[in-house]
Amino acid sequence: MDATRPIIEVNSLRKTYGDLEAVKGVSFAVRQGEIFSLLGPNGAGKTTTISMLSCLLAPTAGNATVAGHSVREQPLKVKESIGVVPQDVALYGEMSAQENLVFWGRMYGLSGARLKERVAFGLSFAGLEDRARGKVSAFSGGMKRRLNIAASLLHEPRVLYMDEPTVGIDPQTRRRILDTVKELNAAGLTVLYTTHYMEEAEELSHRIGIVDHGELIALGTREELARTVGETDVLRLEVSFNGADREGLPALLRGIDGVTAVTVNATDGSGDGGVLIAASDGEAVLPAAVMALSRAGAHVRRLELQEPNLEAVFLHLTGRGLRE
Amino acid sequence: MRALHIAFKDTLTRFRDRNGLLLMFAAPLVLAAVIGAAFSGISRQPVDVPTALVDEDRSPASAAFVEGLRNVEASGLIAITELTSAAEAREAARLGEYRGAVIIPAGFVAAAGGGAAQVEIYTDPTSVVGSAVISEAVSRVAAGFNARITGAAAPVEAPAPANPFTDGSPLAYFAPSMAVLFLMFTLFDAASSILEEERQGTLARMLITPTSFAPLLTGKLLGVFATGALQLTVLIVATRLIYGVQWGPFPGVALMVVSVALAAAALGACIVAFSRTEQQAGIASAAIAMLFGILGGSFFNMAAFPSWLQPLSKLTLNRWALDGFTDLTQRGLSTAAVLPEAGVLLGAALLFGAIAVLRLPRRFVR
Repeated sequence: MDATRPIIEVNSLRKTYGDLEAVKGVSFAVRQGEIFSLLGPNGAGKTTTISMLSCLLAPTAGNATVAGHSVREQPLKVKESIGVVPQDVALYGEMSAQENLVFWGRMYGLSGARLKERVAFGLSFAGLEDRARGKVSAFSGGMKRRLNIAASLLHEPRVLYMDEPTVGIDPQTRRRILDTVKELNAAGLTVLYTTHYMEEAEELSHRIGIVDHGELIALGTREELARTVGETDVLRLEVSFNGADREGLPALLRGIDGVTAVTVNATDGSGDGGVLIAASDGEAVLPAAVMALSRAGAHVRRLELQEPNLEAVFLHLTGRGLRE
Repeated sequence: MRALHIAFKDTLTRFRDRNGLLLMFAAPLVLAAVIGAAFSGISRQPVDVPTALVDEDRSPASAAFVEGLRNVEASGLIAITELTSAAEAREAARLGEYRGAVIIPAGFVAAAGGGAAQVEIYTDPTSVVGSAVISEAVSRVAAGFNARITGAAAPVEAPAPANPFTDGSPLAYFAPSMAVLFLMFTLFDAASSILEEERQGTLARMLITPTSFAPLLTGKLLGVFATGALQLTVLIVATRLIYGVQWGPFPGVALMVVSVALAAAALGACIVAFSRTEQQAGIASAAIAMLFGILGGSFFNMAAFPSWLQPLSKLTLNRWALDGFTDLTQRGLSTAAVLPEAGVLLGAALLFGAIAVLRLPRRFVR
């Protein structure tokens, strides 16, 4: 990895829709050869940012360069340099795997022997050599996902954008996609990855940009980000609320000495959920927190004291959990 | 080149859709045969469509008109019962005792002198065949009557038509009419594929490749046109081989195929340009295709339309398409005869295409 040369440079990039400011002047650089993740909750502005970097959306203000080309002035050059794996499978179900790859290869300007060679690569990459003539609509979700990635690699891009590629898929397919990202990066490909899964960003990324409400609120390696929260511990509690006033719990817990942030999530309709507490000394606040929850009518079923991680960073910076 | 790849992909996927193929080919072929057979029956055997007749004018001119209708009755097409009042005739037709009523109003002869004579036709809208037969019978008699009033050498006693639609096989009318009707359905649906691609994410994916919107739109429109041209060509060949329809000289037919397919593709794109969702486009497309079909003569002989409906009919692509095709299939005219119709259709293609090309980028490029 070349740790110095940025292949993507984003300068005060902004996008508004009427009164709504979806991206509020973000700036960051992605170095050649790294995996850079944009981590943030749904609606944080990750997809809008990646859409502007793909020249799919015109920025309202600011600029960005990809492989030295401006997204404003040289969109076709930018598009030649990037491959984009969309969040949802974007393939033609009535066409075969091979026909899809041929079509997308042609859209990237490939033809003749080169096209044939890259289609063969795509089928091999997706593990679909024996299903090349099968209709995509008949494929499993995992096969479609692999083909979806293969279609974005046909023209050998210098940068690969992956926009939440693991949303709504089974664990096995997710594992395979994460391994694929690492393999592609090991082969020299720069990857810009967006996700709202902290674990994915931690596992994959050389550096991480945390986005919230259209702003880049933190940027660095996992270790650098963890240091920003200082000695903060995170208490993760699994709770049965038993009719307790969930709305009132954050204020109640923030009243405990040493607690810096609290987030309460209901996981489903069963009345269970999770409580995240950021505190300067997790062990010290633990008994008081359990007592407070108990008095409020909630029952703690499981608890975990975590080392500072990206969840803690996000909680520390925003006062909310990533999945809120 | 990318535009051609998109057009090829769209045409390929359209022709692989089994439901789409039913709409494109099976439906027009079957309907043309069914309706054509119904009217062939009319031409060969008496059908005696029950028709009420009221002569309120009681003048020599109106008597001549009645005589003309009696001549048509002699051919077995209609069976006339003369009634005394218009109200009675309308009510009887409304109750289904007759398939329709022909009323010659008082003052008919005076109006005829001024060139504005009108005969009222009151038909049962649920009887497609009956309505068309009565309308056609009156049109024929009226044509002869008008000729006499204006001094042209045509007999009042217009000969009964061999069948109410054509001088030849009814399929010479219904083969093109059904082909054009279902072409509209197909191409409006094909044009909305850009909205489908937007929903399934492939449009955004195409826009992320080094392709600007212009070749993308060109490819999409080219695909719609190619689908339409192929659909019409297959239907023309099929009706020639299966039903023996004579489509006329190749250059004329080719010119009409290209003109109609271009106009329908452009109108489809225009509908999409003004639709927010696939559902909205689907509803608008179906409504316009049906309206054009009815007004444009896809279900009834356009000659049977009342005079006030004729200008409206000419606002539809179907009417111009049918006029052009039937010039070739029914009247055996040359390629030169269809130049006006082809010109109007190409003009419509230009107009609708320009609107779509101006509006669609604003719809999809942000």
